[in-house]
Amino acid sequence: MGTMHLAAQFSLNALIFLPILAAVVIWALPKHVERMAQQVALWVGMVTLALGAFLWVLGQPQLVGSAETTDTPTLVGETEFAWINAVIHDQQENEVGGVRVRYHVGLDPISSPLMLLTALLVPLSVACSFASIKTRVREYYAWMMALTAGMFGVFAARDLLLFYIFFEFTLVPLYFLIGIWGGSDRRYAANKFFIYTFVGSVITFAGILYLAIRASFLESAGTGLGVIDFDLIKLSSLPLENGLTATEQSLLFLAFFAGFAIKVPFFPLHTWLPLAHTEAPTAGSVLLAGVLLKLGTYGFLRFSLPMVPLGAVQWASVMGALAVAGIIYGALCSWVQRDVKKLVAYSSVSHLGFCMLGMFSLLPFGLSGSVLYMINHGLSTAALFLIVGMIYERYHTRDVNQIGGLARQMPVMAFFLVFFVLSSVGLPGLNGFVSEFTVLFAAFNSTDHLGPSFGTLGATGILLGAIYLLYMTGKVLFGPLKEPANTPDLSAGLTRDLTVREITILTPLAVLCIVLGVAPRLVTDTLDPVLADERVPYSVLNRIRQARDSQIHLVTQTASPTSATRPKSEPLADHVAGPVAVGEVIFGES
Amino acid sequence: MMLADADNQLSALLLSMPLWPLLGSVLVGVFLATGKLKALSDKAVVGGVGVSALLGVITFFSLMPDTSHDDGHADASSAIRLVADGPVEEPSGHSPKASNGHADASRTHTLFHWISLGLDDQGATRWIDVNYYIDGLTGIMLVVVTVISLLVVIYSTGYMRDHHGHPEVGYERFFAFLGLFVFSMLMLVLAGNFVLLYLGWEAVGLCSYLLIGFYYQKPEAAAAAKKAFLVNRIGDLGFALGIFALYLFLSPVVGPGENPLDYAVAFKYADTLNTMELGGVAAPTLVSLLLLCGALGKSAQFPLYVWLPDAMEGPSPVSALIHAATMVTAGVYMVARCAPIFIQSEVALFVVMVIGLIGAVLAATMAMAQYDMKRILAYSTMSQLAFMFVALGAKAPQAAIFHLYTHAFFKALLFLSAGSVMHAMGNVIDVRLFSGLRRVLPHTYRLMLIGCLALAGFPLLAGFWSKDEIVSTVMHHSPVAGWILLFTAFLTAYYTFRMFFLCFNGEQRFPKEAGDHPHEMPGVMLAPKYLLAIGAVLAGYIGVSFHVSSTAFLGALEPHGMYHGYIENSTIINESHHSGPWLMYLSAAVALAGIGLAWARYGAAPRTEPDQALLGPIWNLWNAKYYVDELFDRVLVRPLRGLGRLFVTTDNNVVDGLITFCAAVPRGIGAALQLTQRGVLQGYALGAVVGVTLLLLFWKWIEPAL
Repeated sequence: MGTMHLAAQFSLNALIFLPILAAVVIWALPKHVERMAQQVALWVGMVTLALGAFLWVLGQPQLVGSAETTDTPTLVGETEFAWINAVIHDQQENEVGGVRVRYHVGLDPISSPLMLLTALLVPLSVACSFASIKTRVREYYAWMMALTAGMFGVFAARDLLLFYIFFEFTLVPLYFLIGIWGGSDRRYAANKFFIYTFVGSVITFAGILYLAIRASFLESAGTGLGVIDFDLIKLSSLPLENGLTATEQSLLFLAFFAGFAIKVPFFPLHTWLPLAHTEAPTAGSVLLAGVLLKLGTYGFLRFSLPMVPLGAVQWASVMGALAVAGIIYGALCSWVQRDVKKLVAYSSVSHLGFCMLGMFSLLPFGLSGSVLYMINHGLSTAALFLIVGMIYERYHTRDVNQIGGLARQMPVMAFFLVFFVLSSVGLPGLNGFVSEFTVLFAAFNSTDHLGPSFGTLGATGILLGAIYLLYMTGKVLFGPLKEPANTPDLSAGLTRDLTVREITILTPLAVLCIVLGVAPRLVTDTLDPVLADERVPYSVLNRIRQARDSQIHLVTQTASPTSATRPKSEPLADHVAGPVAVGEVIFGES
Repeated sequence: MMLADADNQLSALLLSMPLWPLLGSVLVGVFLATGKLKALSDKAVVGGVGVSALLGVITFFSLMPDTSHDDGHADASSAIRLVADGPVEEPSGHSPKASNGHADASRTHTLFHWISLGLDDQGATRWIDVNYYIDGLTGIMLVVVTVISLLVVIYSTGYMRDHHGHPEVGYERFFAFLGLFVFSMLMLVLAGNFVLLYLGWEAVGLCSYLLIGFYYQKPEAAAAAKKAFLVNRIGDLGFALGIFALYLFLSPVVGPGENPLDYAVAFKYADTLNTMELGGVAAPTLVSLLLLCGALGKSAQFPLYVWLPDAMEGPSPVSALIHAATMVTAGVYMVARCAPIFIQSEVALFVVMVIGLIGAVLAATMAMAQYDMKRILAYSTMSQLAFMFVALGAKAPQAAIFHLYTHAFFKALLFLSAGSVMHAMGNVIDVRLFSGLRRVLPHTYRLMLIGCLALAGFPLLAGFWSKDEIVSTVMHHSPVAGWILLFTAFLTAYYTFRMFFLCFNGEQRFPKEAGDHPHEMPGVMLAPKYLLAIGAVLAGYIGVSFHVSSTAFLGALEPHGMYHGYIENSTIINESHHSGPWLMYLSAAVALAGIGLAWARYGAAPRTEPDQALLGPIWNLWNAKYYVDELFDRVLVRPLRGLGRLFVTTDNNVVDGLITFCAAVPRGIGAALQLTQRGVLQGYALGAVVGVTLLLLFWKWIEPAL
C-alpha cells in the first residue's frame, strides 16, 4: 500500500500540476522553436494519459486485488492538507470559528472514469490541432495545457471550494481558445460563453457559501459560528431531520442548478452552446463536448444530490420534465441545421437531456447509466467533432448543402463517421446503447419521481436521434459527389482521405466504443457499489433514501395535501408497485 | 444443467455459432485496412457462414424431441442432446398448453453478465446477461437463417461481379456487411432475453440499412436505406417501451436474482400480468401491443410496411436474404416467441389478426398493379408475412412459423431468380421492358416457375402445406378471416403468375441495357438456386406425415408431421385445429384458379395492361400504393421538420432573446445612471443638496425624538 499510495498521490497531483508547468514552459518557448510547442503539448498529453490509466487501474479492486476492508472506501491518490486555515481556537484549543479550505484531491469510482476520459481526450485534441492551428501556436498549446489542469482539478477535488475554483478556472482558457482561434463570430461566442456560464456559477457560489456557513452553524449546535469548512463528505452528510429545512434545500438546489444546468447545458439554458461549439476550434469543441459539459452533470451528481437530497427529491419531476423537453427540442433543432457542427452541437443538448433524465430517476441503475452516458457521450460526440473538423480542414465548409457523397472520396472517414453516428444513436453492441437504454429504462421505472410517461417521451429521442444523425450522414456521405470549388484543400499536409495521424486519433475512441458496449461493467462494477454503498452514509442513494424517508415522515406529521414536500408519485395500480414497494426494490431491505 | 462433459464441450462449440460470420467480417475489415489478401474476403465470409450453418444444422438435429409421433421419426431421439429438457411432454399438438411448463430455465445458456441493474429487493444483483435460449423454435429459425444465408452468400460471390467476372466496387464491403448480418440475425434468434433480442433486432436493422444503401451514390438507394432504418426505429421505439413496461410490471413479482427480461423468467410469470394494469390498460395487452410495434416495423406490416418496397434498391441477394427470408421474419419470430405473453390478452391477439388481414389484402392488391419485379415480390413478402400474423392472432404460432420456414426457401429462390433476370437484362427490372425470356434464361425460367408455384400455393409444393395449415387453423378460429385469407391466396396466385408470364412468355425482347445476347448465370449462382428449389418443393414435408389409411388429402397425407412435434418443444403455445380435408381441396382449387386466370389474361404477355382497362381508378390507386408514402410525408415528416424549424427560430429569438434581454438589463441601468455622471458641477451640487435633505428627513423619520 505504501509505495503504491505514494505513486498514486504523485500521479494525481502530477495530472493537475504537470499541465500547468507545461503551459508555462510552452509559453516561454523562444519564437524560433515555436513548432516544439505541439510536441511538448503532445508529450504532456501522453504522460497524462499514462498517469490517468495508472490511476484508473488502481481504482479497480478486481485488477489490483485490494480487498476493501475499511468502512469508508479509500480514494485513489488521496492528498490532503489545509490550504487556507484561518481557524480561531479558544483556551482549550477547541476550534470555535474561522474558515478552513483544504487542498484535498482524490479519485473515487464516480470521478475516475471521467478523469480517464479527460486524460484520453487531451492528447487527441492536441494531435487534432496540428494541421489547423497556424497562428500564435505557443499561446494556443499553453491555453490547452491550462485547460487540462483545470479539468483534472475539477474531477479530483474533494473540497467544495477547491472544486469551485477549478470549475471557474476552466472558463478562462476556453474563453481564449474560442476568442482567438475560433471562427468568424468568435468574439461574440466567447463573450457569451463566458458571461453566461459565469453568471450561473456565481449564483452557485452563493449557494456554496450559504451551505458551508449553515453547516457550521449546525455543527456548533447553536453555540455560534463554527469552523466554516468546505469538506465534501461533511457537507454531504448533514442531518436531514433538524438540519437544513426543506425550503432551504429546495432553494439551495436551485442555486446549484444555476451553475450546473447552464454548464450541462440543460434546456432552456443551452443557447450559449451551439454558438460556442460552432465558433470554437476543433480541439475546443472536443474538450467542451467531451469533458466540460460533464462538469455540469458531474456537479449535479456529486453535489446537488447528496448535499441537498431533499431539494433533489422535490425537484426531480421538474428536472425530468425539462430533460425530456431538452431531448425532443434539441433533437428537432438539430435536424434542421445546415451546419454539421451546429447539428452535432444541438445533438449534445438532446444527449445531455438523456443523461439528466437518468440521473433524476434517482434509481441505482439510472445513476450509473447517467455516469456511463457522460463517458459515452464524451467518446462519441468528441469523435464526431473530430471528424467534422477533419472535413472542415479539407473543404472549408460545414454546410451540408455544399458537400455530399464524400464516401467515395474518403472511405476511411466514411467508416468512422458511420461508426460514431451508430454509437451516438445507441446501436446495441456499441457504448451508446447501454447508457441510453439504462437511463430510459430507469426513467420509465422510476415510479416515485418520473414514471412511464417520462420514459415514453424520452424514448422518442431514440427515434429523433436516428433521424437527425442519419440525415446528416446521408447528406455528407451518400448521394452524388459534391465538393466546393478548389477543394479539397490539401495544403496543410493532408491527404484526400484521412491521414495516418487522423486515423490514429480516431481509432482509440472507436475501440473504446466497442469495449464499453460489450463490457460496460468496466465502469459500473466499481460505480454501483459506491453510489449505493450502505456503509457510506453520504453515498448518493443513501442520501436520497434518507430524504425520502424524512419526507414521508413530514407528510405523516403534517398530513397537509398542499405541503410542498408531498411526495410526487406516478399513479400506478396499487398491486403493481406502490411507492413503498418500489422503494424496497431500489434499496433492498435494510 | 445436468449434462455430460462431452455435451458441454459440444454446446460450447454450438454457442460459438454467431461468432464465425462476425469473425469473417472482421477478417475482411483487416484485409481492407491492411490492403492485403483482399481476394480472400468472400472466402472468409463464406467460410464463417458455412461453419455456423453446419453448427445450426447440428443444433437443429440435437433438439429433436425424444418422443416423436407414430410416423417413423423415432430415429430422431438418437440425435445429440444439446438441451436438458424439462419434463418430457406427451405430444398433444391439437390442444392448448399451459404456459409455465414451456419456459424452461434449463434452456437458457448464460455466457456472461452484461449490464447491471443494481440490487433487487432480496439483495441479489440483477443482471442483463448475454445468454441464449435454445428450444425447438430456435432450432427451426437456426436452420432457416444459417442455411439460406450460406446459399445466398455463395450466390453473391457470383452475383456481385460485372460481366467480365471482376468484383464490383465495394465487393469486400458487401461481404463484410453480410457476415455482420448473419451474426446479428443469429444473435436475434439465439437471444435469451429481451435486451439481447433488441441488440440483434437493431443490428439486423443496421445491416439492412448498410446493404440497402450499398449503392450509396444512387440517391434513391441512400433515401431508401434511411427510410428503412427510420421506419424500423418507429417500431423499435414501441418495442423498447414494451420491454420497459414488462420490467415495470414483473419486477416486483419475480424471485431473487431473476431478471424479468429473461425469457425464462418473463414467461414463467407471464400469467401474473393479468392482475395488473397501467393507465386503465391491462398489462398483458399493453406489453403485447408495444412489443407488436417492433414486429410491425421489422416484418413490414401495416402501417409500418412502407420501407420494404423501397428496400429493393439493395442488391438482389440482400433482398433475398434480408428482405424476404430472414430479417423480415423476425417480427413473426418475436411474436411467436412471446406467445406466453400474447396469449394472455385477447385484445392483443385480435389486433395482431386484424393487422395481418389488412396487410395481406393491402399488399396483394398493391402487388397486382406494379411493374418492378422485385417490388412485386416485396409486396408478396409483405402479404405472406401478413398471413403469418393472422395465424399468430389466431393462436396458431406453430402454423406461422411453419409458413415462415417454407416461405424462406421459395421467396429466396424467387429473389435470386429475379436477380438473375436483372443481371441478364443489364439491371433493368421493369417487366414492361422485356418479355419472352423463356428461351434465353432456361434455368432461371424453370427455377422461377418452381418458386412461383410454391408461392401461389400449388398443391404438394412447400407453400401449399404451410399456407393450408394457416388457412385451416384460422378458418376454425374465425371463418371471416379464413375466407379473407383464401381470397388473398387467390390474388397471390394471380399476381405471381401475372409477373411470371409478363417476364417469360410472349415475344422475345430485351431492353438496350441488356446488350446483344443476355446470358444465363455461372454455376456458382445456379447451384444455390437449385438447392433452394429443392427446398421450395420438399420443405413442406417436414410438417406432413404419411398415413396409408386416412381421410386426409389424397387419402395418404396428413398435415401434421415431425415439425409439429419438434416445435412443441418451445415457448410456442398452440391452438391448432384443422378444418378438415375439404379446405385443403378448396385451397388447391383457389391456387389453380388464380394461376388459370393469370394465364387467361397475361399468358401472352400483352403490352397493354388488361387489368388497368378493367378496373380503372382502383387499379391506379393500387399502382400508386394507396398514396401511403405521401400520407406519411404530409402527416409525419413535414410537420416534424416544421416543428424543428419553429424550435430553431424560437431558440434564436425567444429562448436566447430572453437571456440577451436579461443581459441587457444591467447595461440599461448603467446607461441610465450614466446620465447622472456628466461632469456638470451644478448637477453634482444639486445632487448633494437633495441627498443631504433626504438623509436628514430619513433620520427624522426613524428618530422622531430629535
